[in-house]
Parts: sequence; C-alpha cells; structure tokens
Amino acid sequence: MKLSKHAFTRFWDVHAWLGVLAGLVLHVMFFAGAFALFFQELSSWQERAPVAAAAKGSPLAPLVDRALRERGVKPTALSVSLPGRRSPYLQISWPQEGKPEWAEVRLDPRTGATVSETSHVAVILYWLHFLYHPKASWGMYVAGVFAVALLLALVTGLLIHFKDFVQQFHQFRPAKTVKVLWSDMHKVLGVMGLPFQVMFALTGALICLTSLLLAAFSGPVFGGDEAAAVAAMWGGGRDAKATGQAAPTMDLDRLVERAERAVPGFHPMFVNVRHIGDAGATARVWGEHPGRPFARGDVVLRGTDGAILSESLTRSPTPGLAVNRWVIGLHYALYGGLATKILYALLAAATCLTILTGNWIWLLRRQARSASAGNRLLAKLTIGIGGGILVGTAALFWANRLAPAPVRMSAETGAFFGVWALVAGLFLVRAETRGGWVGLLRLSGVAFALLPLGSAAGTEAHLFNIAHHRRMDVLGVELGLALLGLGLLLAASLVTRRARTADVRRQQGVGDFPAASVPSRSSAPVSARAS
Amino acid sequence: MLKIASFLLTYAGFALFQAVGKRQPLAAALARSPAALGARARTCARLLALVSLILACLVLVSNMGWTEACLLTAVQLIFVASLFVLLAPVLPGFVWRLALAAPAIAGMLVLGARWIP
Repeated sequence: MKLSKHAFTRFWDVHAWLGVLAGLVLHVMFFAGAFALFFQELSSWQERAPVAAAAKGSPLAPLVDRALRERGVKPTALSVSLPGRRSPYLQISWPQEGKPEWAEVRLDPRTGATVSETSHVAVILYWLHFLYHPKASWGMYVAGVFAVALLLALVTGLLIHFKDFVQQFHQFRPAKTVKVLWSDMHKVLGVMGLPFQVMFALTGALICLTSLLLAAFSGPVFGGDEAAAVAAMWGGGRDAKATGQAAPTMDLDRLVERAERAVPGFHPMFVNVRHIGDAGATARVWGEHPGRPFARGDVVLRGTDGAILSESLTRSPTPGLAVNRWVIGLHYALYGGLATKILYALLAAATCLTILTGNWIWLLRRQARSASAGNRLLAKLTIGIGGGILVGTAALFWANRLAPAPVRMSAETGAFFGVWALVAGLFLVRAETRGGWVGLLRLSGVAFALLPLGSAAGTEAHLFNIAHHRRMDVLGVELGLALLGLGLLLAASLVTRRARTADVRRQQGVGDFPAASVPSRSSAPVSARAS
Repeated sequence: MLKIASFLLTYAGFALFQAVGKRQPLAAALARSPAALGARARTCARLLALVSLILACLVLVSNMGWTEACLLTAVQLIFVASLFVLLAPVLPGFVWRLALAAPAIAGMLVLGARWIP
C-alpha cells in the first residue's frame, strides 16, 4: 500500500510528534509495567517475614469485625482482600469521611493482630505503571489518554512503514552509522513487537478509560440512569442504591461461602460490600475459576440474604464482561504462568528501547540544523528521565533491603523519586550528556547485580541461604534483579564498543555523529561522543 | 520443561522461516538450484516452519488448554522474532547453530517431561 506524499508526510509528523510528546511517559509506564507483572512476587519479597498462611476455612468475619470495632468505625462500604496465594494477609479497607483515599489495615489471618505495612516497593511500581495515586486517582485517566496516543503512534507507524514491512524481517545493520543503527532497531522492534504493543495500548486504554466512557454514555444512551449503564456493561446488581431501610448484612464468611457454593471450584480473592446495614446492600466476591481462559470473575450477592444476583465466572452475562475478561486477561498476563510474565517483561523492555530509539532518531535528524531549545531539552529529558528511572528503581530496591522498618516506606519513596529526580536534574543542568547512558547503565547494572549481596547484609532470608528458608519469591526476585543488572552491564559494554567504532568513523570522516548527545548551541557540528 | 520446549520449537520455526528469506545465503543457494526445486524448497521450508510453530502450540495444550497455548505461542513468536532479527547480524554463528539444535533439544525436553514423574 503506497501512500500519497501528503498522507505520508502527515502520518510521519503525527507519529514523530506523538513519540516526542508522549514517548517518555510511555517509556516510564512500560518500565514500571514490567515490574508490575510481578506484583505478587515483589509484595512477598519486600516483607522480611511474611505471616504464615491461615488454615483454609478459618473464620475471618470475627477478625474483621474486631478490627473495625477497635478503630471505632462502622463503614457502609468495605473492601476485603482475602488471604491466599496472592497474599497471606487479610486486608480490609473502608472509605473515610472527607478524604478521597480509603483507610487500610492489614491483619494476621490467624490472630487478627494488626500487621503494619513496612514496605511498598511493589505498590510504588504498580501505581507508577498507570500514573495512579489514591490522592490523585485521575492519573489513571491520564494514563488511558497516553495509551490512546500510543495506539495512534502505532497505527501511523504501521502506515508509514507498510510498504517496507517485509524488509524489517531482515534489516538490522549494526555495523552502519549510528543513525542507521537506531533507525533499524526502532523499525525492527516496532514491527516485531507491534502485536504486543497494540494489545497493551488497546487493553490499557480500555482498563483506564472504561468508567469514564460509561459515565459519558450513560447520558445519551441510558437517559442519565447510571445504574442502568453499569448493569448493561457489567451485569445486574452492581450499582444497587441504598434504600434507606435498615437491614442486617450477612457476614463476610457466609457471603464467601454462598459464592463458593454457587460456583463450584471458585477461589475467592476479594470481597466488596456496599451499603452495609441497608436493605439494598450488595456484596461482590471476586476471584479465580480455573478451567476457563482468564479464569477471573465475580459473584454478586444480595447483602441481606446472600441471594445470587449475577455471576461472571462460568459465563459472561454481558458483552462488556466478556470483553473485559479478555482485556484483563491479556493485559495482566493471566495465562501461561511465569513464562508469559517473563516474556511480557522482556517485550516491555524492548518497547522501552523502541521509544528511546525513536527519540534518538528525532534528535539525530535535527542535529545537522541549528539546535533548538526544544531538542536540547528532549535530549536531556530522554537521558534524565528515561535513564534515570533505572538508577531510581535500583535505589528503591536497595532502600527496601537496608532501611530499618520504622522508616522503610519513606526511605523507599525518597530513594526512588529522589534519585530519579537527582539524575534528571543533573542532566538538565549539564551542558552535554557525554558518557551519560554508559554511566547510568553501569551504575544501575552494578546496583541491581549486587542487590543479592545487599539483601544478604540486610535481611535474614536472601538468595544465598535459599535452602534454609525456601522462599521462592526471594529466589525469583533476587535472581531476576541480578540478571537484570548483568543485562544492563552488557548493554553498557555494547554502547561503549559502538561509541568507539563511531569515534573511529568520525576520525576517518565517515558517517554521522553518535547519538544521545545534547545538540550544541553553536552552528558547528556536534563533537560529543556517543554516551 | 514443556514451556522451554515450546519456546525452542517457536525459535526453530522462525529461524527456518528466516533462513529461506530473500537475502539469506540459503535462499541464494536455493535460487541457484534448478528453478522448480528452488521454488518448492522455499515453500516446503516455510511449511515446515509453520509445522514447528503448530508443534510449539500443541506441546502446551495438554498443560494449559488451547486458548492459553495459542496465546503463549504467539507471545513467544513475537519475542523470538525481535530477538532473532537483532541478534542474527551480530552473532550469526550462535543464532543459526541454536536454530539447528533447537528441535532436538525440544524433543528431548518433551520426552523428558513425559517420562519424569
């Protein structure tokens, strides 16, 4: 399919400008997303000594009631994360008056004792993936908009390169000039990774923006009846309103037991109860149902008597739920086990590289003209934000291992955002980014590779005494991070070697100059080394 | 073991597909051969590549069902394609030798998975 010159130019401009404006945010989202895939493993690893699992079937309702009584709260809505494979803790949360974020408490499921949270490594990276914070939940909608931008960039990129599509299966020329190297790498990773990137852009946009779209459609399609819109999308009983009539709500254990009985083989994981103490109370028990692809869904029960209102585990009662099952399943890698998560993480890294090479191509193409402030800023931000997040993440993991429990959470937050901001600030201030990428890759590579040693120094359960504690989460996370570190060091070595080749070419007067340097203000050609 | 075997079969399939691509030495050798054989050989090679991918999926089906097996095979193919195209010019010896050994290793892993209790 050959595009007209006008169409080609327009699509090229859209693709290039979207890449420049949205690329770094998407890079951060994919980077954090690679870690978010291992949320369960990281949540377990970050704890020094997770509590032992509760016996199956042990009553949890008395523990929840006691915890709420001790805090003097009688919430009308409650969210409970049940202990199980995902987490050994019983976690409850409820809305607070006058505050957007819900109160949370974590309990030992055997005794009901409060277990203070001492770390949030997994949560930081998970929330960063979709730009979320409890005090700024609108960040999720922003993430959705960026996902749409990615989709547009992918479509325009496909249209631009459609005529050369087959060529990308064979065209990677690392021995050529740096401009050709980045261009080939961008096209190869973009073309080969296209199904993966399109899938994530589409599912990410749907996950983040569905509630917004539902609200938008409830007016013109459902005459403003939000409950009808929610029922059409997700099935009945989900947005039941309070009736104002007092009625006791069935306790947690009985609700879960009713849900398990309604769907044999169901493994409940979460319970959400709304309008507690009202005749219109509903409970949504959400969990896994093996034997069906992306085997997750929920059972919605009437809170007063436990009658089943709808279930989405054995079948999808609405098209919205059917689509959502696939959207969530594909996005969260709910298939294929650990192998899928590892492949997703590697493909996410490849997507990060696709985005960075796109920025470098932009900068190289404009290097010959006089450098604009915008391009200088883009070069600094690409390395400061794109590379700085590597070092910040390494600092986050080190803070978890070395900081004492009372200050661990604030140390983790400070280490991650502080180091990242410091690196970004450093490159904003520096005149050139010379040696920057190699330095960042080496620093983060060493930090990740040596993390198991830091873990051995700071904790009792680490990689080197795995035979003693047998915690597979520790083995997986620390081995994975060590391998990540080695990979980053290898990347640093490859970049250094390539920079030397580029230097030789430059001395011989062959080819264009290395990438990833800040264009100088003078009209003379840039003479910086490749970083 | 079955997942590793599936990955290796996916790799072998893609490598075979690439091996008879236009700019590859093998394609040049096929082009020099009598015309009919050359054209058929490329088609046969591509069919074999497809068979390898189907086997990669079949190996997983007993473990996780058709839907998940097809999806995991697709993800493997995307990853293998990216890695192969980037590594082939840089480490051609390793890449092609692994492609030759992959089916044998995969076969041993599948047999091992069946026999090991």
